Amino acid sequence: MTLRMEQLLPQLPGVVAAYAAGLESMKDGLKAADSVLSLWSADRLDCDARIRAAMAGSSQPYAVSLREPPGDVMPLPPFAAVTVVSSDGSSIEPDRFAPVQCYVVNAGFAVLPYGTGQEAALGARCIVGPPAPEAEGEEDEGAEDAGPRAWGVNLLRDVVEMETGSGLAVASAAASPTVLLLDGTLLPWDLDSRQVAESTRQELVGRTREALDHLSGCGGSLSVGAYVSGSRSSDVVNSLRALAAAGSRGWPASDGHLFATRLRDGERSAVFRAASERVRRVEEFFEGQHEVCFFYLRIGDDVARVELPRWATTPGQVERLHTTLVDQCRRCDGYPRALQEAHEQAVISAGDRQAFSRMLDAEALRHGLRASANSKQMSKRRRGL
Amino acid sequence: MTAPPVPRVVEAGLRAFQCAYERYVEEPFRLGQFAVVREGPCFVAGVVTDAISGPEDPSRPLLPRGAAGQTAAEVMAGNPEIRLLLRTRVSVVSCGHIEGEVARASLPPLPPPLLARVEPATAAEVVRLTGDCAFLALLAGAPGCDDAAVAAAVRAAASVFGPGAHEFTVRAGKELARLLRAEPARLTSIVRGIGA
Repeated sequence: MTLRMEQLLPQLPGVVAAYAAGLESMKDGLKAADSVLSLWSADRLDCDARIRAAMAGSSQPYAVSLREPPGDVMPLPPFAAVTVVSSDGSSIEPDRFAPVQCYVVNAGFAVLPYGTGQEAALGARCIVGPPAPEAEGEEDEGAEDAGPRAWGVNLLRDVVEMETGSGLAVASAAASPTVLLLDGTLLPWDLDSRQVAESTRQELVGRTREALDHLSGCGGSLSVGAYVSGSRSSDVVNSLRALAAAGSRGWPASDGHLFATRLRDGERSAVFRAASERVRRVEEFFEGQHEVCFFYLRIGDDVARVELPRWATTPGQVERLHTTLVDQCRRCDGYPRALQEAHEQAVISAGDRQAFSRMLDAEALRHGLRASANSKQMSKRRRGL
Repeated sequence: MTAPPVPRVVEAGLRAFQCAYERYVEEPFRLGQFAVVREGPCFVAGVVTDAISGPEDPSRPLLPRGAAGQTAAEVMAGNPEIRLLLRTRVSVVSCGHIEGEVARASLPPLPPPLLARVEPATAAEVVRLTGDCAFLALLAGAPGCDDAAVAAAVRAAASVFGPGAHEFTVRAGKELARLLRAEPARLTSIVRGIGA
């Protein structure tokens, strides 16, 4: 045993007690935030202007209102026939000790019809390729055995997920009302990473925008939601703190804390617009119709953040997304069924990773390429006493 | 809806093979049905001895979903992913092979190719394979073929003989009596199954 439990255990109660004390100290802040939310609902435009003024010079994320009063709580709409499309991805990063640098991206997908008469489908789309070029002059800050190339692969995986989901959702929406669910945030956040080469960034921004453009072309028959379970985002509480001119001490630490007190199971918050003046942020690439909006959704004890592009915020699209997400979560112990199945399709097992490594070695050997002996790698493999 | 999937060989041997549908099907090949693999150097024929359905991934057991009062079809419709995550597998015991115009009630020279399609035997093929009842020796001696499967195979074969069904059944009974003269209990069990 390398983890010294006798050292760990005495420290654990202090960590938990500090967290519990933090929650307790938030109670007054939650009440105050709740009051400010009511004020924001009463005068949206004035409060939005004050929030925008507070954003100046801040790198914090904020929220401004969209159409609905920010303090409104939306009950669960009735469920209607829908096809749910989802995609999720997994990848094998290039191994710098391998004879050939090579990645694998596996995008799993699920198409699940509920009363629409479409065919159900589960599957995966796999691509293999050389790594993206490294950003010029950058240091090795990536995963220990992968280097910065891994950043490009993670980003590519996010984009391939979006493309896979987009292609299936566009086809489905032509036949029946459809909801596209994505795992995590709507936009690939690694797009603004300094560790991604500029040429890679530009290419993947273009591909992401193209996928979003295709989706937006479906009009009202398609709803889109990117699902973040247990979100720790703080856009709304930052805006409320700006309106209250309060300090951070005792203020709700995240939007999840706030909406856990306001939403009952199956209810959602109003739709907000994400706003920030942070420089070099991902949203800059997608301003306009693809601007990120979001709402919070209570599923059991979980408060999930659901991101959606602005073009997908019509009342009909949001209602369909809301009721479909609740239905999906109730089918799968609190997490959308379609996302779980897409994940299952995407997973690359340890056995598959080893098989890929062996195939790559064998193919390289056919060209006379061998992995160079590396003392660090060798020492990790040779663990005998 | 698309057409029901065609089962394919997933385990192949000379004496028996297994085929699987790409998803769960409620009505796979029936017990005792004659099936043929028409790929490879010869057609391999066999009799269905078992069918089993369940999750493809053993780490994801099928949970008893569905509200009270819902039928299996309703639960399936409400959970469209389940059918795709289940598999139906069918066990087949070899009972002969066909090379050109010649049908032999003996083991095939080669196992059927893996992933080859498995199809129902035509009535003409069943007649050619079973007419002399020699196929019963292979079935009665196959470890994976129990009394119920032998009886079901005789019933299935008889059904394609039309007006000659009774005559075929008598002939099969005589052949079984000859093969199983040292196992009267088993013979009784099979004969009762044929009459069932």
